Amino acid sequence: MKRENIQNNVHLTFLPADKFKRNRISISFIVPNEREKATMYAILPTLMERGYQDYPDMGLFSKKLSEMYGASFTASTAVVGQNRYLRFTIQGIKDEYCLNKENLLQEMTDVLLGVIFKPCVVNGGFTPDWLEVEKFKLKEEIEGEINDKRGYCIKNAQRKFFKDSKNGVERLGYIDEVDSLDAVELYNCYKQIISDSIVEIFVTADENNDIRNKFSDAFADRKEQTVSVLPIEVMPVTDIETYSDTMDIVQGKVCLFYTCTRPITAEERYIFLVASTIYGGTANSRLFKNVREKQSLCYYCAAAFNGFTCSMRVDSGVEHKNCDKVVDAVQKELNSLIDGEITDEEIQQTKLVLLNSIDAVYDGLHGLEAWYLNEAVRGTWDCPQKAKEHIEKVTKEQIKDVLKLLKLNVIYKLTK
Amino acid sequence: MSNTQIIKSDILNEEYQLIKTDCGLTIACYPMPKHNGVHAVFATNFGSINRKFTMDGKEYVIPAGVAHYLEHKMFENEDGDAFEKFAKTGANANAFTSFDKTCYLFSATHNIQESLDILLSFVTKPYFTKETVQKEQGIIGQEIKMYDDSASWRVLFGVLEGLYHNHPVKDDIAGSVESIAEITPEMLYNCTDAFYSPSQMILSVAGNITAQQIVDAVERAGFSAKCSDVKCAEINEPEDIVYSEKNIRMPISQPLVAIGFKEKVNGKVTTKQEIVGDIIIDILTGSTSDLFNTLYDENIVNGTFEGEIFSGEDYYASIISGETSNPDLLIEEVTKAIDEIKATGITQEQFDISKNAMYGSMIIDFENVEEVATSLVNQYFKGNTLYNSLEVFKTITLDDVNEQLKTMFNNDKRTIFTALPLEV
Repeated sequence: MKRENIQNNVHLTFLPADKFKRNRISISFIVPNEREKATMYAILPTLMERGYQDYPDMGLFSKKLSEMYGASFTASTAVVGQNRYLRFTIQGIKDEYCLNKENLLQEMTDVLLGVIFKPCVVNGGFTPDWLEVEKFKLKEEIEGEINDKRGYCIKNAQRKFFKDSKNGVERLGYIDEVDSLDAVELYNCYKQIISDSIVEIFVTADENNDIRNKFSDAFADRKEQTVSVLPIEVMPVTDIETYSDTMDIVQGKVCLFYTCTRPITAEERYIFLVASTIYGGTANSRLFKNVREKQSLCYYCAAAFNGFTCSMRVDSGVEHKNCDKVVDAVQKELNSLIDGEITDEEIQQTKLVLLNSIDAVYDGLHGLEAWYLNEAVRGTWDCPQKAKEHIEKVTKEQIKDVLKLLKLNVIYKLTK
Repeated sequence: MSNTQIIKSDILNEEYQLIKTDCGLTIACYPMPKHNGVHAVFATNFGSINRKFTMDGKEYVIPAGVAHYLEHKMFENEDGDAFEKFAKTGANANAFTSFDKTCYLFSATHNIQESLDILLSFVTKPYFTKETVQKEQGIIGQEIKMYDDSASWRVLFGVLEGLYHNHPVKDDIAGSVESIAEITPEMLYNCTDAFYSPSQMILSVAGNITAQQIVDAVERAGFSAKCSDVKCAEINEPEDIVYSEKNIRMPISQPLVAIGFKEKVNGKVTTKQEIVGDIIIDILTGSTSDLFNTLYDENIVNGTFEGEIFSGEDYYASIISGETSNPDLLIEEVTKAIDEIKATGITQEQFDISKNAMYGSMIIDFENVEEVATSLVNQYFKGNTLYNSLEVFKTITLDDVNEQLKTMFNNDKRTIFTALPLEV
């Protein structure tokens, strides 16, 4: 694996592709997750995904991708702690599988660079017709969050937990700001992202100088950067806040958010990974075995630790009448890990699960890319092998110690 | 290794082995030595639609949801829970039931032999008591309720209930709270006797493994060749539909519409029919279609709009669905687009573009261990090799597509099912 700084704050990494049938190229622009730009950041990928100057129409662009043996192009945005990235990705079959000896990898590079550097612009702004359509779609998507009941419950709990922190700035922006989005203002926002952001380019393909040079040339105008990755912000401990909303749903939902009493170290992140997996990360975890299987209180009950916010989330799908019982059971299981016995076998088995899943990172087309993109946002560059070494060293005492850092801030219930 | 077949693909320059062992079990081994991991699927051709069968001459009729119930219960043996055993190897284990099969599986990068031993052991050692069967009703009841809150799930089964009178494909894979209440240990044992003997099953493994390692695991399992005479009853399904339109209301942000067409099935559905159907539905509703692009820009649909061929051995439906701000207009525009394409036929350009994209998507299917091991199971139960679709695909012509198009999308075989937001 080779990572190179090709221009100001632009990094290019080639990742091995020998086991895959496809190549994949992605460009991620990492920026601070600013509240005032959230809605613009949310709509930009959808606008740009529609086409570019060479294919200035959604249908034409789709046809072009179909002709490239169904290459797929996606543009998206994600919130990672106090930062956000906008990611543009193209993937398509390797040249060796093309029926007419096409040079598809080069073509994929050109299309990706075309979308990013040659957007369709009218009078100094993005195409107004496109913007109106995408505004409508963005509002639909924001309103549509109620359709996925599990996700809706988690999002609402998250809002109560993060409050006004940058960690909680909405990925999809804010519905009351959508109508006033302006084509010229958006284009200026786009230009700022292109010129002032941290750029991570991942090419899952054999190393190739032509491609390297294309990216280097494309970003040649970049000046000294003012943007840097924002550090982790830990939410302060509060009294436990309990919220309940009602909805006419068949299965009730519960979500709990815990925060850490202080920022955690890089090593503690790995300890939390082991601890939260023992607690609620697998079908052999405490929550699954005890709350779901033994007590039959719910259909699912899972815990996830987020190292970017030093927080832990537990969510569960329950019968309405069991909501409070699940909340009690979830806390009891956590306390029993802190105060009670954790067997060596339990720790060993959990480590094995994690080591397995880290090795599997190499087997997915975007596995390593996702891994290193997270590392870039974190400001570290640990390889999967290093993560495995950290995990292997975790001890029972360390697990108990990190779990003691967790304090429950928010209980959110969604019931009939 | 008795009866080993090596199956090759010139396009991919790859091969896999299909081995019929002495105990009757079929092994499929697709070596992918560059991968770190292995994905193994132990599967039986018993899914939610197998509700009536004969075993050694005796007829059995079972309620909806038994195959899925059995899948849950198989994880619990007399000597403990299979998840706990997998935990010792670090494998990521799971199972799923579909309309026509039940699959038990694991993914792992370490301790592959131990995980194979567990997989082969728990699936073939059923253990059910009245108490354990009853206990599962609560968990599965919760699973059913979770899907009851999913608009896309409700709309899919709303369409299927409208299209099919008798075919069990219209029933939820997990059954209903009422149907699973009828399940008894005896019923479950009858089903394992019928569908879980080695000769009814396939062990499909893809990844960093050799055929010999899999054969060794099967030998260690010590299966005995046991073979009951099992036949699934043919389903007598009339050509007409049950209802043409229905709505439900639920807490969602905007309507979700599904338009389903019951397509004619003569005998068994073939791979060619399925691929040709995929090409037609892609040209009609896919991202290059005028229908999608126009409706998208007029804010009638969003990215959820899609068309799919929903098919199995003896059922075949075309379903077009999506969230919409205007259900009536969506239905009108889809109907108009179908009339137009049926009148003009598909052009050579449309056909070439769609076929090109589909070729790419077929190549991708051979990229990861999960996809390969699962496709091996699917194709095996259909009586095909894994490369069959690629071979059939090469032979498909524009004439094939236009011929099949003439027979599809008949309005008198159409069900429209809509989930509407709650009334304020």
